[in-house]
Amino acid sequence: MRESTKMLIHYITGFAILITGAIHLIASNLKTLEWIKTTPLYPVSQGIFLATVLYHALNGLRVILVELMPGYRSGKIISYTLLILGVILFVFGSYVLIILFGER
Amino acid sequence: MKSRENREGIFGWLKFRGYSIEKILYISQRVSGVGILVFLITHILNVGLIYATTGILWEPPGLIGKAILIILGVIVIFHSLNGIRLTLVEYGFLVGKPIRAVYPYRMTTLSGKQRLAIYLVTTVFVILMYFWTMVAFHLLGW
Repeated sequence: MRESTKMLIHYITGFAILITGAIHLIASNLKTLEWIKTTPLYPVSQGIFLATVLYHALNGLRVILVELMPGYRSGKIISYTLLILGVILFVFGSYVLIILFGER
Repeated sequence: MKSRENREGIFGWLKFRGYSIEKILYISQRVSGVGILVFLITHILNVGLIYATTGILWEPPGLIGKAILIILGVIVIFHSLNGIRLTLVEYGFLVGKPIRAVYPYRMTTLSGKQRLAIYLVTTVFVILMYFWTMVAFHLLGW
């Protein structure tokens, strides 16, 4: 994938995080708006939040590490290590989401 | 080793003399991003593992947990505001038209709308920090 495509996805996920992250924070912290958690769309929003925030965070870390350790080989190693880490965290997070919201 | 001699590594981040204000924002964006990343991974693992084993949604207790949340709020607000500015700059919405380099030199690409966006980001950040201080006092129970 081209570097510009990765960064385009980075910016798109950034704006997705602004929305889904705000929903996550509002529903978890404001007592009067806790009914958001009971809507069926909330688990979907949480899943989107998990995926986008993991991509955004790990791509940001990849950019920093690639800049600190330039080179084709080290870039490949960094990218695939972070990809595997991201997949593991996503699977774990979706498992937690499924057991959290799966009952209803 | 020859290719490494000009690399400054992480210490190059700390050089601010002679750079414009964007360098400070750039380094703050990185540092806050790494901070959020550390919180994110520990948050997923903490909440997930404790919920999977004990069945309760865990929150960090005591003063340390509250301090973490307050600092997290500060860096998340900064990171998102500056991130919006960076996205707009990246796709050329705030970049001025370049002019010929004739004396007296003027930075048309960095000044103007782009500099205005920096002032806007800092102002909104300070205003939101004013509200966040109240939230922090409420959280701490003062």
